[in-house]
Amino acid sequence: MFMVNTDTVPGRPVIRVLGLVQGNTVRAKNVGRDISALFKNLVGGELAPYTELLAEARAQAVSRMVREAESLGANAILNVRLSTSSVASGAAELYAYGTAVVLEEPVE
Amino acid sequence: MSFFWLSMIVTGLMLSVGGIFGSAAERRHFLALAAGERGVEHMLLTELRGFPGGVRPGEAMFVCGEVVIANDYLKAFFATIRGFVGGEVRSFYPLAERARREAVLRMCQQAGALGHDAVCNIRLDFSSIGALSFAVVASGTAYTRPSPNHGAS
Repeated sequence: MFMVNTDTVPGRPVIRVLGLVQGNTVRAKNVGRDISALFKNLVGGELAPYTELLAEARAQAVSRMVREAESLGANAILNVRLSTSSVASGAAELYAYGTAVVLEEPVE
Repeated sequence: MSFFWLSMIVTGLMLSVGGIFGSAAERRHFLALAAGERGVEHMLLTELRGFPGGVRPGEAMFVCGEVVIANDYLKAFFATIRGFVGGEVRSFYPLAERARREAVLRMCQQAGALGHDAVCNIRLDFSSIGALSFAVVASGTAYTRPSPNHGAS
C-alpha cells in the first residue's frame, strides 16, 4: 500500500477518493518489560522495551488501516496521521487514520 | 527510628546513583544524537505539506520513528519538588528534547535507509506509557529530490 502523509502525490493525480480509513490498537506492556523499566527509572535513559511496544502498536494500527483501505479497493492512503493516547496506565493506544484514494498508476 | 534512617539512606543512595549515572547517560545520549544528526545533515527536513525542493514523481513514502525515554531518579525527585512550588520543570526539559530529537533522528535514518534525502510534513505526537516517561512518535513523508545539490531552490 502506498502511504504518504501529504495531501497529494506529485505525478500521480487522485482518480477517486474513497473516504476515511482507520486502524487502532491498545497494547499493554508486560511484567518483564516493567522490571527493566523500573531500573531505567532509577538511572534514566531510553526504555527500549517500551519503544518496541510502541513500534509494535504502530505497525498493528497501520496494518489495520491498510486492510480497511484494501477492502475499499484503494491503492494508496493520503494524509496518514498517527495519534497516541494512554487509555489505561501502562498501555499504549495508537490510532492511525488517513484518506483512502485511488491514484493513477505511475508512468514508467 | 532505625527504619526511618534506613529509608533515608536508601533514598539518598538512589538519588545519588540516579544523579551520577543519569547525567552521564544524558551526556552520552546528547553526543550520540549529535553524531547521528551529522549523518542525516544532508536531508531537507520540513513540516510543510508540499514537497520543498521538488520530488521525483511517484517516489514518496510514509516513515516514522518512535522512542520512550525516562528521567533518572534525581531529576524525577526535583520534578516532584517543583510540583509543590510550581514553575518551569527544568529537569524535564532536556528529557523532552532528547525524546523529540531521537524520534526525529530515527525517522530520518529510516528515510535514509530507503535512499531518500528529504522528509516533509513532519508531525510529532507525544504520550506517556507508565509514569515519568516520555513517548514520542514522529512521522513524515520521505521523498527524493531531483538533484540533491540544487534541491533547495
